[in-house]
Amino acid sequence: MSDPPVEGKSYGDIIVAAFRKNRTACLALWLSVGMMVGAALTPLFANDRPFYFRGTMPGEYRKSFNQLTRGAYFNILGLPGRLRAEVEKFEKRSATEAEFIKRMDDAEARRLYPTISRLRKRADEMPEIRGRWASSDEPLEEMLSLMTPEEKAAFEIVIARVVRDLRSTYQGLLDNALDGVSLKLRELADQLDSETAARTKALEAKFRAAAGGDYLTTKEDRRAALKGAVDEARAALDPEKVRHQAKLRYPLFDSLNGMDVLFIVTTLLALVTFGPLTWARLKHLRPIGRRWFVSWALVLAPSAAAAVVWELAHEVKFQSVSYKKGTEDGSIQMTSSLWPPIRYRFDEVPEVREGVSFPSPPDNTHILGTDFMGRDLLSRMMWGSRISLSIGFVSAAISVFIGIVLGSLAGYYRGGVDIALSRLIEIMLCFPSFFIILAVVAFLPPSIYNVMVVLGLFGWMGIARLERGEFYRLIGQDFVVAARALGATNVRTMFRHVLPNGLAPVLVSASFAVAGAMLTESGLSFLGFGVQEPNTSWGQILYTGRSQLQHWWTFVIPGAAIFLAVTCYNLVGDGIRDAVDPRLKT
Amino acid sequence: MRVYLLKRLLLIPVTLLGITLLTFLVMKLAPGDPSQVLKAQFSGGNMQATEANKKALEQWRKDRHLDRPIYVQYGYWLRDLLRFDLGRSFMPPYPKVSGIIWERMWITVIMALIVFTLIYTIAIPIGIVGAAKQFTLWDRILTVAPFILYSLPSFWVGTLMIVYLTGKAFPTTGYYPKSIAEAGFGTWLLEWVRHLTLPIICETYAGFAFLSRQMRSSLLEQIRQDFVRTARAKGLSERVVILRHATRNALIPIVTLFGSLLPFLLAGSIIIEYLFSIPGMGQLFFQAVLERDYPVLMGIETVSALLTLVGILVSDLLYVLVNPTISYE
Repeated sequence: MSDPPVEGKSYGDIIVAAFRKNRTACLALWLSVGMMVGAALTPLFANDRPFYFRGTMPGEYRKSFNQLTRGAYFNILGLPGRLRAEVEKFEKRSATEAEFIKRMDDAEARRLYPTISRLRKRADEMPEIRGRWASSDEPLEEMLSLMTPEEKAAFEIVIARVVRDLRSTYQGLLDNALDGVSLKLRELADQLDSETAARTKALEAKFRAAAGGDYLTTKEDRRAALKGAVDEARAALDPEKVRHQAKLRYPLFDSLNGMDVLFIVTTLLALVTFGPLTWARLKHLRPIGRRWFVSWALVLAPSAAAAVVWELAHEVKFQSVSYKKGTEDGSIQMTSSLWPPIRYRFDEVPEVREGVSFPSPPDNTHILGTDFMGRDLLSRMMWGSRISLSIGFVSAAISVFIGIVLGSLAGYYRGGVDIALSRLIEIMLCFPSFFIILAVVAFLPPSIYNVMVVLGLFGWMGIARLERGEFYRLIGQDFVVAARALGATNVRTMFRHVLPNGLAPVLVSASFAVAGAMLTESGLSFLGFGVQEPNTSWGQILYTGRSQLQHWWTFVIPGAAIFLAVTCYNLVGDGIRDAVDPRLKT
Repeated sequence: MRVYLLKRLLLIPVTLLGITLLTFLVMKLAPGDPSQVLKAQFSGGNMQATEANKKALEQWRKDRHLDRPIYVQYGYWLRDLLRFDLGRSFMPPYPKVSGIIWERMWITVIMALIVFTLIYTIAIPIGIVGAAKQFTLWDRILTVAPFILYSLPSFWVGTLMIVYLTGKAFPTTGYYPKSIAEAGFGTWLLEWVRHLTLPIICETYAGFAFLSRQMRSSLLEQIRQDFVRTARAKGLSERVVILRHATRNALIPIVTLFGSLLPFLLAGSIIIEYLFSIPGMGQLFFQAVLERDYPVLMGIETVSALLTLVGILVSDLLYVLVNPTISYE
């Protein structure tokens, strides 16, 4: 910044030019960009299903058919009976103590508990009642006559609650079973000619009608109706008689969810648009992309839209089909297909075979070997990078956000605000933060979102300090005075005028923060907290590999990946620092 | 100076109060509580919560004020702290927290001191060479190498060391349980060195990247000062200019970093002690986290925060002592 202003070059241009001179940092930047792209596109690189194939799936058809006519049918048919039995058990007997213990968190249950336990104690004093209480399914008339009105009321409330809960549970189960039927029917229809396929629509309506109604009372009618639906399905969809339609299918794309689509589309769009833009800028062809948020919006808006559309319109079919096994045993016949380069998914456990023990070392089928369950390590590393990198980025983003806001406030308003915030920063800096992060992550239910938030909440102090210093430096300058003189509000001055000029040091910290968060996350995973099976992150792979010390690949590879990524982000941060503050170099 | 010292001393309790309050809140607001873990303990393994067990659990919660609102609980905890009482562990045989922390702390502190010494003795020469030979290959190597070391995850390096280095020369554990009397001084010392070498390396290597970098930039700043130019103009050798004139001044800011390295080392101790099964404070904390032993967790947080605060205070004071141009009036 001691350089004199250069005509026609923005501050950003100068920083970029200085950064580009640092070859190590550039290499690290490219590597980290490559890692991000790889992480986002992982579902396309490492998956257990082909991008597309043309062919039929007779085995799958038969399986779906069997599941529909046997499993789904009995599921639906069995449910009301099971519910009825449960409800009757509770109505006839008493609310058991177990019910209360299950609900001890519930205020009402705690209130009723003394009443019921008093009743129970009295029953315990009468041996013949106690015996029947324990064994019989009959209503206990004696019991009822013993009860005081208060106890009776408590009893009623408990039973009503139990029955209500049971009903909603069973309604959920029934809905699930019906959804299962619909899915199976759709899967079947998908393999048939359009004429037969049309008939499944009517069948689905029939199943739904048969399952509806008050399922506690009309038992026999339902059985008949369901039987009718199933018989009709049997007749119409018999695997021996139907003609299978050879079709072009896209199993890999079918298995993506909205989040995957968001990542993939964003990455591809960013590559397509930013690549040429950055190149043009670096070659000084045109100073494009100054309004970087416009270009980001141009990338993010369509991908977000694509993700939402996908999430709403995409139909999940054949999710549990194993395409590899299918091609081997002939239940899937492919005439042409295209597979991803790595034919394994992160959670794909091979079948147990004689003479094969895991973890198996790197060879031609598993380039990086397998873990102790036989899952392909390369695939796990790639899928794990998605979680490791996203934890790094999201928690760094949270830290940066909090740091910028608090630092700006402290630096802009000074006085009491500054003193209070500085004190807070100092307290947080003295915090043995890894201790508390470990405690919190261990106490909260295991989820990567908790890890992200906790890491973010304990990492903002350095950034807030930096930003406060930047504000102190900038606030006396003429352009700030000018902005204020023009009547800009405090918020506008802070975030539109001062902040953009004080962002460069934050960029440095942000890069270090990503590295730091990744390191902490892998440390947590290494201690067994963090990502849970079958999902995976690099730290988690290292954690599972740690117990098989004789198999080097299970812990050397994930550790090396963590090391490489952390080094890259640190080197990038270092490069930006040198570029921003040339005083350190000369 | 005295006023400044007084101010800093007064700030310690305030900061400590803030840290303990935040820790307390975070721990209490996290879902679940230790009585979930204890249910099993009270019912003697079978999860049947009988009337007697329930009563005992209630009484247990009451004795530890777990049935009161959080702020009351914090009040009780604070009251006990003022009497230098950190309470008793939730886990049988319910030892005093201050006792177990004291028992476990010394090895962590000793390791931290050794690591400090090593970090400073390695980082300062590296920083000096980097600054003195700026823009040479040496400079590049000496800046990039610590940087790479800094990015090496210590748990990974520790695992690799355990796999490939332990055996004859180094044992897999980092702790030698026998006392001097049992083993005889010679063997005792040798065993200690053998046991602690790997964990110490693990804790050290990451630290000096940070410090050597600070040293380098601090020295570079000094080299550009007028007095260095004067010294060179006098015809002193480069060696004398750098080592006698510039380095002395460049060391001043390095001293203050002493305070901020401490939390870093304490955090590192959790993983290192877990990996090398050293019965120190970090391992104690890890166990306490698994058992949700709140008093122990709070005790360790308090002690390590106190250590950090004292470290920062000492480094501030050293800063004044080594730098006569600064006075905190």
